[in-house]
Amino acid sequence: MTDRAPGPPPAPPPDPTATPPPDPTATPPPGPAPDPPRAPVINGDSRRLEAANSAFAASRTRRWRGPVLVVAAVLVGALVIAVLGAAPRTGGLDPEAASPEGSMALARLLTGQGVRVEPVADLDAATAGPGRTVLVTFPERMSTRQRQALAASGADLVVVRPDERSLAALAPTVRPELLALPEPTDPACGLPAAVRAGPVDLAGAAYATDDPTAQRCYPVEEPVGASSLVAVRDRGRTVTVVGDAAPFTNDVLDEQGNAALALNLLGAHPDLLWYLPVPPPAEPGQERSTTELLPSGWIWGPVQLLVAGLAVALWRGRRLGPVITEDLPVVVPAGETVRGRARLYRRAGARDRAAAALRGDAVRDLAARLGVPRGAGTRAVVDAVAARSGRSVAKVGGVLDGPVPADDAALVALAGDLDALRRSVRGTNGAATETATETAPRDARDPAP
Amino acid sequence: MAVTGRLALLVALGALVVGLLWPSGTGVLVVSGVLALAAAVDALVAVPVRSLRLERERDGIATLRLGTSLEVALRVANPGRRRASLVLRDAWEPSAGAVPARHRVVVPAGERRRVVTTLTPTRRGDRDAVRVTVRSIGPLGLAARQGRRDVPARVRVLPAFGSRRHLPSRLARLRELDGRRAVQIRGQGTEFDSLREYVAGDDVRSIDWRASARSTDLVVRTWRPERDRHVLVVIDTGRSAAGRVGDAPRLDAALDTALLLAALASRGGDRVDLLALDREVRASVLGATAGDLLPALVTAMAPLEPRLVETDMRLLATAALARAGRRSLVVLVTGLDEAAVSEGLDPVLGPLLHRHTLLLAAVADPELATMAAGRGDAEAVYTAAAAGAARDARRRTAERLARRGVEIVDAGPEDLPPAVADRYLALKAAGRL
Repeated sequence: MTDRAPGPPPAPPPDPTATPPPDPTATPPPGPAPDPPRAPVINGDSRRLEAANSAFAASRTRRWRGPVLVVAAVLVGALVIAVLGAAPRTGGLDPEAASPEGSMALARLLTGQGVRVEPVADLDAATAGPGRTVLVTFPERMSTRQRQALAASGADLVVVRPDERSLAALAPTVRPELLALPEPTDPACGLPAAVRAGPVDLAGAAYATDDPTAQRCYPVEEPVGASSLVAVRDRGRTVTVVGDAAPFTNDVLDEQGNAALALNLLGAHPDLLWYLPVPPPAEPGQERSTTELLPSGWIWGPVQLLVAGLAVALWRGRRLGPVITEDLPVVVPAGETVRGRARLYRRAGARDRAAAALRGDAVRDLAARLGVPRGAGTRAVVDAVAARSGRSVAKVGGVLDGPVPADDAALVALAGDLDALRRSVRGTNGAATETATETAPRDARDPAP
Repeated sequence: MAVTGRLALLVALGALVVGLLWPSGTGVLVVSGVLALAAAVDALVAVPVRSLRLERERDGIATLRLGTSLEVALRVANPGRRRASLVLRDAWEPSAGAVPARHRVVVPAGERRRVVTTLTPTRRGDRDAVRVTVRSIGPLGLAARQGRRDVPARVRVLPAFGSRRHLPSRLARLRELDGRRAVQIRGQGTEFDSLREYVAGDDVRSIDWRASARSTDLVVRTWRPERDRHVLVVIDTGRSAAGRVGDAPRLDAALDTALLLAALASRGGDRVDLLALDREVRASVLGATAGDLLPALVTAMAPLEPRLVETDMRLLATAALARAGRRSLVVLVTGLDEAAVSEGLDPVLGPLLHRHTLLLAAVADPELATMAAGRGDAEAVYTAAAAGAARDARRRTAERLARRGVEIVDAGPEDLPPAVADRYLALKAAGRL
């Protein structure tokens, strides 16, 4: 202890009052050893069969555990994503929505200014004529036909963060600057709406244009020439490309010059079409099924895979020669007749026969143990057993030569009584004689003396 | 004609070609068609199965003991001018336990290869090779020709003779009886061996007074156990032998018993014959010399199977009497079924017992004792009662036969062979052979 290197503190001295931990090598306390656990009496067959079945079931469970876990994980993951992703995200730039990303505040303000705000989900060139303003909230949601209709209309457009296809249709001279990172800045242009608004929250996308007449407002630092708001004249109308939807939302409408910019842009004409594009249902005759919409490679590839499945079936389905059969000898468990007879006894309620067989077995057994001559009769065995075990003759006689049990429970009890008699005799007489016909263990129940 | 996994893989990869490069029905047709054509050509140019020469390396019947393994070889010769790439299955009866199930072998042109299948049979008897199926794969590995050939072969699976382990101890006891190692013993009905001087402790009744008169000393006669006796083992292969005790039918225990007894008796200088029958004689070994007795026995026993017929006891008695001319020990391995004995065996016992010593060996079912000890619920107790009744009937039958002078040995399958051997030794010592 003293010369040990510094390390964990030495264990405290054993507490004499504490109970010692169980020592696996300790000898068990003296006393009667418990009976070894006995397997229930089962037909050897069924035991083997059960073992095989359980082994088979275990291997099957093992084999399926991995795939089942994977499927379960996928399902749980999908559920989590569905629950988390199910938060309502509707109402973006919706004039009726009061959510932070909605635009109810702006719509109310415009109405208060005398602008007629008309939300539309689909429009054609006729409704959007010159002299109106069209706010295109989600240009990327427009179908090609809607985009063409909008381009053909003469109305002034305010396009919020358009994608390339919308730009190509509505403002061909403007192109997106994908690398720009706009930050709120000063207008730095001559557009009246921007000049009046001053700094606004425009931090979405930036656009560049080669049109010399274009108004480039809120330029970004890098690259030079790109700006967050571009207004161009196109075929006699003004197309204003706004890089961010923030100035129109309830959330930040009251900050900086957002409201001023939005009101000035959208209130230029007394009529405002608030365009929330929804792809229209396909017209009759132009409906296209999923397969038509899929790229053809996605259709013919799987067809080829089906052919591959056929090839796999041919490959695996061809046997290397037929199944070989063999005549096997018929072999029946030898104990089957005994079991059949037991079932007949039970079905017929033949307690008299069963009890006689049990008693006869016990009487012969006891007679052999006690040296009662064969053929001396049950009475002699009863007397000998009573004398040896110290029980009364009446009691022993009642067990060995008594009435037929009244029911199955009494029969079971009789079997127990017979065993008790055998045990009592065996306890006093160690020199049991075995007959030649009984080399097998006579009674596995009894503990060894 | 058969296709390979490689073809299936290529067709599946064709899905990429179709999907990315040629997405149309024509693409599918062309890709699949090209591959199908390639497979057809491949199968056509594969080495024909008919041109291969298949033969067994060894003629005749190979033998092995149950529980051991044997390698059987097949020679595959390719006399053609193309390399043969083969998948080959040497199919045997299922209980022959042939592994591997399929062989891959490449036989270059003009050469031959050896294909080895290991047999581990699971039961006794003759096992046949059923056929050889050959799949000859084409050079591209896309398709194959398949054909089957009959290349007969047979192995004979001999009984395991698990009771062999009891033989040394019984042989030692036999030698003690025989006087080769220990003192000469005296027994009734034994044969006169020689005279020697009296030593203290010898039985005074064995003093040969006539020889002593001619000598200066007391002379005693010595005897040795009788030799050159006849032991006839009769195995009942009928219904009673079909019952399964433990894992094996009773017949297996009976064969084991017969083998141990034969091995012991032939060393003891006795002649052993075997007879196995049910409604007809199934196997018979007569007059085999001591040297080739055991091989003759196991060979005769190998194909024996129990049959679900009632044994013809009259035939049994007649056959046994015909084969046991002089006084013999007739060991009858059969069941102790009450009805079968009282109606079949009892009426024919007379002539057998009149001339011979009859030893009846029966395979007991240890499960009967387990069932007789069953307690707990009504079903177990009824089973115990039925088992008790069955044991009683068996005991009564044995006692009745014993009263008629039949020696009875009734033991479990493991214990029966040594028990019969012990009884044989006891009879021999008592000079009752």
